[in-house]
Amino acid sequence: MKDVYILAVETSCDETSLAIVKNGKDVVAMEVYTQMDTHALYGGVVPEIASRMHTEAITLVLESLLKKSNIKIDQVDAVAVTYAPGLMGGLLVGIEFAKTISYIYNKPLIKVNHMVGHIYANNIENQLEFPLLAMVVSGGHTELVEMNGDYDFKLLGATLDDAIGEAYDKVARIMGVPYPGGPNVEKLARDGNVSYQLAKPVNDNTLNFSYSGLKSNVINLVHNYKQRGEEININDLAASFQYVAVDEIIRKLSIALSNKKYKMVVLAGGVSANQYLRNEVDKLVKSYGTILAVPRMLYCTDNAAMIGAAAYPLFINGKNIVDFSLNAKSHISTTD
Amino acid sequence: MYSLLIDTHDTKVSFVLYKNGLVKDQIILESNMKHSEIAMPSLDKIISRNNINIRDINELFVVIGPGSFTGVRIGVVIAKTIAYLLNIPIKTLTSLDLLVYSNQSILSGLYSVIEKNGYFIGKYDSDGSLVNEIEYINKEEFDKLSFIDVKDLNYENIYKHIKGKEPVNPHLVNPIYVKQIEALK
Repeated sequence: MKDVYILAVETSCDETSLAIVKNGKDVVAMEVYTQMDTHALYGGVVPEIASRMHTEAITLVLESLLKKSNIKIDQVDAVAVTYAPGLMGGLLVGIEFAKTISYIYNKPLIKVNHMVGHIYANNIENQLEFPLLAMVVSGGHTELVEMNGDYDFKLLGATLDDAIGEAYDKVARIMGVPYPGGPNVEKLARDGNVSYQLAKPVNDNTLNFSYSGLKSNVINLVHNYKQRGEEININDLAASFQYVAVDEIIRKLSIALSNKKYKMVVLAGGVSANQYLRNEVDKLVKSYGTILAVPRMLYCTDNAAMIGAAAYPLFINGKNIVDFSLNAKSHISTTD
Repeated sequence: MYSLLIDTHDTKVSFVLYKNGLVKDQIILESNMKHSEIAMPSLDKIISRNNINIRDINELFVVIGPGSFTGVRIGVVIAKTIAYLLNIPIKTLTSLDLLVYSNQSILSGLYSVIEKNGYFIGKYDSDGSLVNEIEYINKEEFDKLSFIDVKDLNYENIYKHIKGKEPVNPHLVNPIYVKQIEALK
């Protein structure tokens, strides 16, 4: 079969990323321009600044991508773009850019769900095997998804309130931990002990998650200590929070793994970069005799290669091919 | 010789196609805040219904604001991407330039563009150059000043005034932002 080359565009948050991916698996070239240092100055991602920086960077990122690639832009078979979920302003920069390339070179335009991209990041260096259980963990999502084939999704459970990444970021803010909050809480937890009693979320047998109670618990604890003028051990608090947050994932994953035999478990989304979470999930998955796939760090954080990987089965099956009226969406589920 | 003007700085999406400096065709649509759904289909339409190819465009003009942040970015991203990939000379103009250049011979004085909660204003010389910078003012300040009234945009006059301008590097074509955003204050 003829090789398929896809030019992929990702601008949903604070990385401007472009990639050319062959057959959904081989990354011919990729560029990731991160704005993280800029947003760090403001203590978090500022959507308007992100949109401005995407606009400033996008053609420059393309120029360096094309310098690295032995495939020319007119040789690609399709253009794929993240259309949701994410920051509207940023998504729109990528969408208009992708439409323009699709128009100039008369190539099909494929819309890709960013969260599905995170799952397909595991198809770049591994091979997705079905039935598969995907644990999607990010700043906006905590979802347990079953896949019985390419794009054959079944939502088993999701957070009823906050996403796990959101909980990490909010707790970081309460504890005065600088941006990026989540990764910094994980770092602090490495040198801490689980010494603070934090309530576990409601223990039911559904596959839904809850993080707002845990977050409030940390807020109250910090507040009470401050009122009493007592010092908090920040490492211990980070470790105590992380223990409960990750335990919620482990508990729900083990219910799902007991219900059905899966060939593979995938961790997807920004929070999958958390090493403690990875280790705990790995132990659990092994105890069920299944394998855990986690992308290399480069493909774990936002990147366009995963969008190219996720677009490949869509291209082959003629799905999600859209016209130039494509708009961005800020919130959608992995299974939408 | 074809030229294409792209303007998405306000509530409308505008594409004006020129042939030898004369307006050959135009698409000007109210977008109801859906620039993204309307801009590229309109570009596709204006090019195809005139039986030309985007590669036949010899120069691009793009409005870089000030105006709606999200709106102006749509046109800017489309324009800079075309200019870069097809190596087409690109020239930028502001939303105030559109007014100033709409007169056959430029009138010096103050010009204004309305924005949701206020006005962007700029003072121009009779040679069409901006004196100082574009500023943002509120209704109260606006009422104290007098401005040159431009009833309608005249695209052929606009063309005459941008004709002599130097093209810019497409990578450096970016919106201008007059109002400071909250986080930057």
